[in-house]
Amino acid sequence: MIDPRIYETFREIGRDLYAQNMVSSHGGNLSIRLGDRVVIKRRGAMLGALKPHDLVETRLDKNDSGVALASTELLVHRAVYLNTPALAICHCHPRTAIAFSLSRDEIVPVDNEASYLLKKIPVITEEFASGTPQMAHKVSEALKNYKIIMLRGHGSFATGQTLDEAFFWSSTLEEACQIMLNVKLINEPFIEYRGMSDSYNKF
Amino acid sequence: MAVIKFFANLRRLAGRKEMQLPAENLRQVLERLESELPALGAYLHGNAGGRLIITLNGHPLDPAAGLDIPLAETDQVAIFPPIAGG
Amino acid sequence: MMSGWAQNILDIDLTSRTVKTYPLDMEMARQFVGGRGLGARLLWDLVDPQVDPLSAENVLIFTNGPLTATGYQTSNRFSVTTKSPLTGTILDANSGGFWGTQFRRTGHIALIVRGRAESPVWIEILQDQVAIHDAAHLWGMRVLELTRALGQDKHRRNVLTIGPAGESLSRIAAIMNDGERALARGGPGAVMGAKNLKAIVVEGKERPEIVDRERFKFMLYEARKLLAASPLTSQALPEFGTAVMLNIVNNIGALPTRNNQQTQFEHIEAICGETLAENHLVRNTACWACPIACTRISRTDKIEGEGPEFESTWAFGAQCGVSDLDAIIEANYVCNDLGLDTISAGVTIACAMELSEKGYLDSDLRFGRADLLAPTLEQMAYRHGLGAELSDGSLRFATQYGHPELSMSVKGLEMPAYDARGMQGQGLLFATSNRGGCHMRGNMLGLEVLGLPKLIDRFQVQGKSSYVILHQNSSAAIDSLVLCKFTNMGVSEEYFARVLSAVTGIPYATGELIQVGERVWNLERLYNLRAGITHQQDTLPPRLLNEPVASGPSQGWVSHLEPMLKEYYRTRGWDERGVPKPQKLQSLGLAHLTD
Repeated sequence: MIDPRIYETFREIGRDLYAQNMVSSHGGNLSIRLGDRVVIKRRGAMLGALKPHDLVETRLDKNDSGVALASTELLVHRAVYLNTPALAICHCHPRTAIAFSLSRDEIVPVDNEASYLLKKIPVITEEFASGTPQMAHKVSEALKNYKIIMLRGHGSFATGQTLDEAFFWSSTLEEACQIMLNVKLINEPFIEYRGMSDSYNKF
Repeated sequence: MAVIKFFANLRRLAGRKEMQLPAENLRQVLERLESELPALGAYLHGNAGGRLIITLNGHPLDPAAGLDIPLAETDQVAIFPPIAGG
Repeated sequence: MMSGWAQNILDIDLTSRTVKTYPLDMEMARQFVGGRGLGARLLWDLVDPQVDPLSAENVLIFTNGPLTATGYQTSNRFSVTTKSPLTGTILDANSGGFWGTQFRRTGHIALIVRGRAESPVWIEILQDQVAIHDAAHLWGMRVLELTRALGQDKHRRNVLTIGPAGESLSRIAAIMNDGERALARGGPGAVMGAKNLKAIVVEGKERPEIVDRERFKFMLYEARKLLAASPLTSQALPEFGTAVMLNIVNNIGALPTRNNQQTQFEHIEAICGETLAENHLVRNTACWACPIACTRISRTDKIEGEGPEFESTWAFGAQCGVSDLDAIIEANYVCNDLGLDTISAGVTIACAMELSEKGYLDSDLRFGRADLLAPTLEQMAYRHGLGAELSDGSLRFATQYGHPELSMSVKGLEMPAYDARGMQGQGLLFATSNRGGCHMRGNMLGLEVLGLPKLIDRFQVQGKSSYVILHQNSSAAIDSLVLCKFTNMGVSEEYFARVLSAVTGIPYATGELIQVGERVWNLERLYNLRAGITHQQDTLPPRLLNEPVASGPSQGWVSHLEPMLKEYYRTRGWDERGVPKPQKLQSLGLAHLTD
């Protein structure tokens, strides 16, 4: 029995992700760690319109009855919880960030907020669909050192102590990329305003 | 009339430790504080932003829950600036 | 090229009066980093967990870390590790000020003190020389006088000492440094006193090597920005100090009052941080390389000195039912001068007050007797009268009088200023902390009260363990660096991992740094298990488990420890008896220690 307050948090963040164009109808995923268990979106559910039965609770270390319904990405989420201190994961498809991930190995923001909060977002590659051990390993290794990373062409994975936090990094990343896109459109010489910013890509 | 209590540097800004305010909900409390105590109002709007710690009858309020929380006659609202310690 | 870490371990045997130096094992350094972690690992090798803590077989291990004295914000702290005479557990305590920086500058990462001198001595560690001096003329001196007598000079020569409490082997005796800073909890002062060691003075010149200076400068810059941007570290702590917490913890009904009989103190206004700032504050001050400057200098008609902190003000205030702030400030001052832990001292006195009021003890102690605080502390330090019985903490005292349940302690260590019935997660934290009832090994205050990073329901039980575990691991990592936890209010662990990497040249991912904390936590747990401390001691006093809060915002609540504890063990990868499973030990690289 999942606490209604937990469901509320999933529902609100899922709705905000969809409303902000960070996921398609059925894409993306949210999960939290509760002790030694995971709560994750049900396979086929829509983040923008989550119902209570769209959340599945299952064990962290191995399969139990809950796993039949859980998202195919469960493997990745489990790997992250087992290998990093994360307590919540937000996986979404921020479209501008995805576009930038296609032409670089790291995204270094230029706006104040993301510079302050994120510094640098590494881009990793793993072509095969979610749910493979290779992808789970790669993603969890990367998230050991960064709170949000991009999977090239696919989307972002962000972790936090709470879903709020994970969502916050995701939203900040997309905002940063939209600003970067505008900078490219405006196409005028950049006036540096941040101290020691040449160190950001070494973060 | 809800009782509003101030703590830490908010006392200095408010010029007092507490006051009574007629208000139907938390939003109205903050609005009235801003109009009646300008120095405090400026602070609440300025660097504290959404980082205030507000308790209602001793229960910390989740900022995500919003300000439209109804207040009863005997309610006590305590407002703290961002603080922490050991 | 070795960097970051001071390279040498100084090993002094007081029985034979021999001094040895040998290099730090770099693999050990990598795994345990320094401070608390290194101390735990060394203690594992050096002290059998069954040893009597006050015997010559116990060891005192002072450590610093790879960041110490680099100039990174708050890189002044140092640690002591030993077996606690109060709890029988592994104990580490850490302190700020200036001694730690100077200690690292002598070129040593650790100082191991073994055995027992046959008569009082003090140790002097200079750049190229270590001397053990006779201390007969110093024995009996109070902390402040002794600190001056041995030539304390803030930035050049620093004194660490015990006071009369450590000399009389009070199990709640602290080790003091730079006059008024403390390695307070768990009785390390008694271990030092049992060795006939009065003081350790350090004077050094070595500067730490930093591998990646550019990256280090960047981290320094970022930390400066982050600390300035956080209202906690840039405004609240400098202006009010930690005492600002009194009103908020009281407001939510979680401030233990009169030995946890209530959870709100009706006279809070008389003793709160606001009143302290208004009536007694001289100025604030800072430890070495710290921009936060949370230290108070307070004054009454009788004294002027450092402090009081939130915990000290609470322990002598609400917990003792005392509303006289002058008396509280003076009690804090006296504790420092005698070398006593303020939390344990205050809570022990509160216990005695309740025993007296209930007629189990014949004494004048009653809640609210501000006038008896300082005199009782003197009695405790010198073991006179009732003080002789109070001197070993509330659990031994209450047990002696037939009511151990009235000691507000866990594993014998008195709990600090949060009532577990008003904060469920905090209760779990106290019950499971490796050194006993302690809030400095994680703190659920942020999540359950302040909304940092987000407010979670303080009365919720399910799922709490993951937060507690994360905070315990992170806290252990920070204690191994060794940095001040207040930095963490503005600077997150990902920055700590990066500055550690920059200084040492060894890459540490954020998760790896936190895993260091998990490793340390599990090692401490193993040590405790071998010392005979089992899951049965992962508990809280009956009052918190069974007596619902009578009034206030936490009315009706008890601590629901059991379900939280079950979930906690599973989440930590331990069995139902709280023993780390082989798989967990393997993943942390600890399996070989238990073979």
